[in-house]
Amino acid sequence: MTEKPATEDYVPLAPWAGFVAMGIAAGHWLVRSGFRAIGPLAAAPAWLRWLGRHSLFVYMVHQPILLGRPVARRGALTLRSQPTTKPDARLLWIAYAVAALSFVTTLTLPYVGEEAIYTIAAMEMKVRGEYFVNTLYGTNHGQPPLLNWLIIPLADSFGWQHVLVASRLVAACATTATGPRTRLARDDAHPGRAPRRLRCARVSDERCPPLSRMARVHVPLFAFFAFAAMACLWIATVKRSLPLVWIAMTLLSCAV
Amino acid sequence: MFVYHFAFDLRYYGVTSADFEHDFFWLSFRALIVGIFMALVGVSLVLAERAHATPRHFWRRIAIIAACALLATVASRMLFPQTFIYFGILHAIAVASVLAWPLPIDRARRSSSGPWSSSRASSGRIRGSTRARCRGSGS
Repeated sequence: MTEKPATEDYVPLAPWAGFVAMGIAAGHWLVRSGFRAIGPLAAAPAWLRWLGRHSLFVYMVHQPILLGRPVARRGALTLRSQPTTKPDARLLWIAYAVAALSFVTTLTLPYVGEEAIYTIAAMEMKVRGEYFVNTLYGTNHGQPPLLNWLIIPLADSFGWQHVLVASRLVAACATTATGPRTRLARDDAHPGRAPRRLRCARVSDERCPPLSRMARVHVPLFAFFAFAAMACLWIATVKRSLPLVWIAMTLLSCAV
Repeated sequence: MFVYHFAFDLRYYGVTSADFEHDFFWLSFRALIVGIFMALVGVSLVLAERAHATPRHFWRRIAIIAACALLATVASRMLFPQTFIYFGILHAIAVASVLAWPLPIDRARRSSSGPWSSSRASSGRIRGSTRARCRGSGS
């Protein structure tokens, strides 16, 4: 099918009824072969087997569940309205993991914006062998070298034709790690209430423009270390711990 | 199916702008899902026959699916008045199941005159053990 008609779901009998015939043939083959081909499925987890045995029920119920709450709020469908509760923390972590996984799909995109700066600078650093001066096209670039240090070993192991993937991997890891790290810091420092600065981790441009712009557009690494430093400082002041202050200063110097 | 519908719902809420109607990826994804669905209908017909399902069972299943199909039509009519589902996957499954009757679902019983015949009434109710086996390996 190259195009769908103007209905949300259209399954014409031609050709789809043909698949039923194919299924019948497959069914006979399965019976004849003693279900050997799908034997391993018997060891599937119980919840998966339950889904299979109640496929119609699952089919009828999954869309209302996925669509349900917002639709009910819109009043398009009068579903039983549920009391507004705080989202389950576990659900948030799952959503976070899904969001983090979505980075995988971006790894192989073509170059976007100024991304080439970091890959070229890393390449130049590797070729020139000067690991403390960050250059771009031979001139001093004036950027901290940490990102390049992280990119180089990755690119070495992936092959330098995949240097963009390496740099994105670093950025994605830093971005992904920033969330849980900030959350852990918050719980550690002050259970139940986020300190004002850390709340900026759920960044909005209006609240702390320079930070979020750096975090989002330029170098997620910067965000990671900056927030780590802030978290450490916060915990240090709460616990009056000097070593944590030193760690915070180290982190801050990484960020800068 | 969950993935496809979740993506679909995301577009419904304006989170994404995927083109489910023209994009090759999404059309293929959907064709794969529908193909698997319909093939499993065929497999299930064979398994049900093997578990000695009677015409009564067959028509009960058709009735349930048809009712669900009607529900899908009504619900989509409320959500998408312009593009509601008038012949979706459930409608297709219900109709295709009936149309599949002339096909050799049971090789030993090609001469049967159809689900509306009561010539097999003697086979009676589904035997528990067979049914359990059938369900265990079913769709």
